[in-house]
Amino acid sequence: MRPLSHAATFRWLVWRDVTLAWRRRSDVLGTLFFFVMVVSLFPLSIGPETRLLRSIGPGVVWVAALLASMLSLGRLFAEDYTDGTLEQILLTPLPASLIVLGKVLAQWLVSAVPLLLMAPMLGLQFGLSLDAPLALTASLTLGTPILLLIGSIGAALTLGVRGAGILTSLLVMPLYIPALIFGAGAVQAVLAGASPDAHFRLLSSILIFALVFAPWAAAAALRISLE
Amino acid sequence: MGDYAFYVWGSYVLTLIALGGEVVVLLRRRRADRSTTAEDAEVRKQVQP
Amino acid sequence: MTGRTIHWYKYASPGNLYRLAGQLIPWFAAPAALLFTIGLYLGLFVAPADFQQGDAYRVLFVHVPAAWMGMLLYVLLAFYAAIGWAFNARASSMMASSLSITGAIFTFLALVTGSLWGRPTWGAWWVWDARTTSTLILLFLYIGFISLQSAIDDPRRADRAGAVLAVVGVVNVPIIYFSVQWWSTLHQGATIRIAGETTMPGSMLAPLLIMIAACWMYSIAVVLVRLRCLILETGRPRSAPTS
Repeated sequence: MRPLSHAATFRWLVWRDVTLAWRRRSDVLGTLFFFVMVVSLFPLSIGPETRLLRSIGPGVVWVAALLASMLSLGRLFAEDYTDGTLEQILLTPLPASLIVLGKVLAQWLVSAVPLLLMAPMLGLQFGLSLDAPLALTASLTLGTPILLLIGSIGAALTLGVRGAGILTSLLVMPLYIPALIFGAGAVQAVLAGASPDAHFRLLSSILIFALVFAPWAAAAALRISLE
Repeated sequence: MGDYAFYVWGSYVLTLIALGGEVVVLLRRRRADRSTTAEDAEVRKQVQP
Repeated sequence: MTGRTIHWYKYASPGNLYRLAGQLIPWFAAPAALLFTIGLYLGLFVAPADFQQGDAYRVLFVHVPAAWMGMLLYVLLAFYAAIGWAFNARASSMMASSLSITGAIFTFLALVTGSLWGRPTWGAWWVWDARTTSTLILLFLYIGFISLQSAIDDPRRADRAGAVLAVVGVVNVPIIYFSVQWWSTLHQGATIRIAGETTMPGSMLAPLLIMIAACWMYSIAVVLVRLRCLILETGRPRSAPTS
């Protein structure tokens, strides 16, 4: 059998992860429902006053998306690790950083895209209208890959460790802050009538930076965790 | 120290407690480690006649 | 010219490092005690009261050194961790682990003394401005590093995992600081501006520099003591960290 090219192996990996996640749809839907429910907690805790909700709306939706992404990190490597598949996948000729990239892409397709589709509706719940929901979706489209890429480093470092879920969150949350600031800030800029260009440009820079460096760091972390 | 006595003395006392506490805990750890090492050496001496 | 050059590699061996650290500690502990005494005396009793803040500014003499040490020790930690990872040098990784707790304590002190300084001068216990927020995030980075290392039982894995985290952290620090600065200036209307740093008269600068030096000496001494503890603990089954 002819060995697969890197591109083909990559496509296979993404397809495999997406298919496996699809078979466990409830896990995936769980992320989405978590997102929706967390967002709803804020008006309940703060009060339904429209102006207040509109001012916190972008931040709340962004934080909820951040938390949901963070929770989905537990599915990134852990299951493959426990049944030994992860080691097998790392033995393929595909470079480890591309393996990480493939898994993150699959996770993004499965966990983040539903959030992106849901976000504008949640924005409406907070009284965001006109351009703001669009800006919200756009900033989350740039932001969720950043969160998953950085998160993959945390997930890789904590493989098989007791309390990995909370620990991963502790490791990764400080690193999320720039994306959160620029992402939520973009929507707030639109709400204030200003241009979100600078925010989007900075967010894109962070995304590029994460795309280049995070898979490499996560791959190094995987190697360390699997020794 | 004027009206600010609480804040100024408070910060200095807190610093003393934090750094002093660090030293105390560290020295206790050191004492524990040294005694365990000594015990291990004793055991090893007895095991190898 | 024989054998007078120091062969640094021999200190990569824990046994030699243990001895060297033991010899160095008094050279830092004694000056630390002395400098702290002088610095505290000058700062509390000799330095004149500030024109605007009265005596409240004296908190600066502990707040600023603590903040500096918090930041410096993090960079040092990342450096030693990276070296330990790159060269597979256990001793270097142990230095990183020793630095982490002291750095976290200083950062925490910086935050608390900052609060105690802020209350009488700005009227608020906590202000979400660029510096305080960045210091808070630095504390989170320390907590992450310490938590990761204490959660992993295998010392080699703990060393290397910590190194990855520290390197990722230190690389992100400028990004985090920039983003927090950005965020702070955008929302400036809601925050209270700290009075800009005016040039300090010598009578105030001297105690500050002495206190900074004292904290440096203290840090080196304490970190070396902890390093020796870590060396003694090598090979023993790991339990919860004591300090």
